[in-house]
Amino acid sequence: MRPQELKMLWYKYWLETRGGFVLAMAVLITTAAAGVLYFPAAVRGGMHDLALHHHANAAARGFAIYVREEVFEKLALLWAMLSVMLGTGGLLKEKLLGTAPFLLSLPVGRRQAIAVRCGVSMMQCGCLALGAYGAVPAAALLVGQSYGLGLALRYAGILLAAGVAFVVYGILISTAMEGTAWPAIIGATTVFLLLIVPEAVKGIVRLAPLAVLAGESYSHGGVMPWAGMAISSVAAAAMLGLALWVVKWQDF
Amino acid sequence: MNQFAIQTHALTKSYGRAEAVRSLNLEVPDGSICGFLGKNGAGKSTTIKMLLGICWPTSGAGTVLGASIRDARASLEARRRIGFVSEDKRLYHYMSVGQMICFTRSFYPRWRDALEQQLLRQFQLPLERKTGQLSKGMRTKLALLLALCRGADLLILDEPTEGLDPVAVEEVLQLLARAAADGATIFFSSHQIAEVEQIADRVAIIDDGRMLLQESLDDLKERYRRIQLLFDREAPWKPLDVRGIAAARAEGPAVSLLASGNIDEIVAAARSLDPVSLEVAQVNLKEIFLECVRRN
Amino acid sequence: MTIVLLFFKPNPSAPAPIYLQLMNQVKHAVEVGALKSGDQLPGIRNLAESLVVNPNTVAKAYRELEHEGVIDLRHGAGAFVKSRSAAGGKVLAAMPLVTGLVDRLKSRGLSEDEVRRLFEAALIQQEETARRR
Repeated sequence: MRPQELKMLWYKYWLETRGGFVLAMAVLITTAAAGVLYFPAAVRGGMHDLALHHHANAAARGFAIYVREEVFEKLALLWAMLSVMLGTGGLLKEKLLGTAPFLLSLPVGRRQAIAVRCGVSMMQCGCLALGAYGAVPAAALLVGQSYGLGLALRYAGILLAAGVAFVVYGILISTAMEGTAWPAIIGATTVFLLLIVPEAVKGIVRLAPLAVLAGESYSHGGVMPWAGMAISSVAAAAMLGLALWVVKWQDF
Repeated sequence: MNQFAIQTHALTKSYGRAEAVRSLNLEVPDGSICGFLGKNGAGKSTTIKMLLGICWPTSGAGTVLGASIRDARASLEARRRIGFVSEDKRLYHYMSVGQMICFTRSFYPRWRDALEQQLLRQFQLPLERKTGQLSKGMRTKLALLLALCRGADLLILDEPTEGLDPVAVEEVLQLLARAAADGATIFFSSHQIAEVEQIADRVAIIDDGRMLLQESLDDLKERYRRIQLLFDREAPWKPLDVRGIAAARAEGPAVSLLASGNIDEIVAAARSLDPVSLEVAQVNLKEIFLECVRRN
Repeated sequence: MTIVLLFFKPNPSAPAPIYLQLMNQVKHAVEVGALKSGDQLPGIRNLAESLVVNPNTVAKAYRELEHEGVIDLRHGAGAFVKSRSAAGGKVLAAMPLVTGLVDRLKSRGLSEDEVRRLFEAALIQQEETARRR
C-alpha cells in the first residue's frame, strides 16, 4: 500500500468515527470534571457521616486518594466501554450500509482496512485516556486543589496499556457480528459486566481488571501492573489476529 | 495480454442451500462492451461481486484481467485497473462530493483529471454537498464519475443507469462509448434491454443463476428468426422435431415459432404442414430475452 | 471534412443489427450522390460518440463496407469513399421501377406498412431460398 493510499484510508476512518470520538471525549471530560468538582461536597459529607459514605471515606483521606479511588476508577470503566463502542463499525457495518462493495472494489485489502480501522481506534482511545485524565488536574484548580499532570498522564498510560484489549475487542465483535448498533451495545455490556462483577465479589478485588485499569497497584506501592498490561497486549494481538482471519473469508 | 478480460469456469455461489449462481461460464472478450441481462435476483450482482473479490465463490474458478478471483493478492492488483459501480451506489454519507473524489483518486495513479472536471460540470455535481444528501440519480452520477476517472482497463458496472432520466442515460452511454474507444472493456448489468442493444456488442443472459446465452449481439440478431404460420383451419399443430426451435406457440389458426438458427430446415418442416401463409421475420433482443427467460 | 450529420441514429431495438443499419446509411448516401469518391467518413471514435453506439460496431460497419468495396480504410488516415460504385448507378436506375410498383400496390388499397412488409417478406424468402441451395 502506498503512503498516500494509507493516509486516505486513515482519513476515511477518522471522518467515519469522529462524531463518536468527540461525543466520547465530551462524556469522559464531563465525568472527570464532575468527579473532581464534587470533592468539596464529598469532604463536607464526610464531616457528617464518615463511615457510611464511600465518597466521603476517600475524600477524607485527601484529594489524591479521592481522585484515584473515585474519579479514575469511574473514568477507567467508562473509557473501556466507550473504547469498545468506538471500535465497532467494521466491514460488516459497511455491508449493511451498502458501502462495503465500494471500498472493496478499491485496491484495498480487507485485512488492510481492518488494520487501519484498528489503528484509528487505538489512536482515538489513546487520546480519550489522555483527555479524560488530563482534565483532572485542570478541574482540580477550580476546587483549590492540585494534582500533578505528569502523574495523571502516567495513570492514563497504564489505562491505555492495560485496556488495549478492549479497543481490539470492539473491532473483533464488529467483525464477527452484523449490525449497526448491536455490536456496540453488546460490546459495552460485556465490558461493563467483566469489570463490575469481579469488583462486587470480595476477595478477588486485587485481581479484578478494573483495578488493573485504574492502576491500583501503582497507587499502592508504585508497581506498574506489568502482568495485566502484558495479558491485555497478548489478548489484543490474539483478537486482532482472529479478526483478520475471520474477515478474510467473509462475503460482503 | 489475455484474450478475455473476464473469464469464469463453472463459477458457483451458494448461500446455505440456495444457489445464487450455478456453474457459470462467462466470457467477456478484451475490448468488448458486454451487457449482462437478467431478472431481479437472477444472480447478476452476486456474479459481479465474485469477480471483484467481494464475495468468495463456493466452487469454480475465474480470472479478471488475468488475475485469479480466488487469489486475494492478485485480485487486489487487478483492482488497480478496474472501475466499478456497485448495485446500490451508496457512498460515504459523511463525505462531501469533493472528499469522495479526493479519497478515491488517491488509489489510482492514472486518475483522469480532465475527465473529472468535465463530468463535474456535465453532471452538475455540487462539490460541497454531503453524498448522503444527494438524490439517487446524483449518487449514481457520482458513482459513475468515481468509476470512469480511474483510467481503468476494465469497467464493471452494476446497473449504471439506474435512477437516471433519459437524457442522463444517453450521456452515460456516450461516456461508455468513449471509454470503449479508449480501449476499455466494459461489463455492465442492466434491466434496460434497449440500452444494452444500443451500446453492447455482446450480451450475456442469466436466469436463476444459470447462463442462458452469451454471444455477439449481431450474431444473435442474425441467427434468430420469428416464423409465423397461418392456416385456413385450426392449426394442425404437432411439435416439430427440428433442431433450433427455441419456442413454439399455437393459438387458433396461428402458430408462432422462435428459431435460434437452422432456419431453412425449420421453414421446410413448417411448409410440410401446408400453411396458407408463412412469414419469416427478424427479431430484436427484447423478444429473444423474454423467450429465453420464459423457457427457463 | 467529415460529416457526422450524414448519419442518423440507428434504431437499436430494430431487428437489424446496428452495423447493418450504418452500412445501409453509407451506401444510401453514396447511391444518391451525397457522398462522392474521396470523401472522408467520420472517425470511428467520433461517430460512435455522436451516435452513442459501440465503437466496435462502427468499426465492423466500416470493415464490411471496405469488404464490399464501398470505402477504403487507410491506416491512420481514416475511411474514404472509394469511388462512386457501379452499383450506385444501377440502384438509381431501378428507382422508377420500384416507384411504379409501389404506386400500383397502393392503388390496390395497400398501406405503406403493408407494402414494406411485402417487400421484406419477399426478400427474406429469397434469402432463405438462396441459403438452402
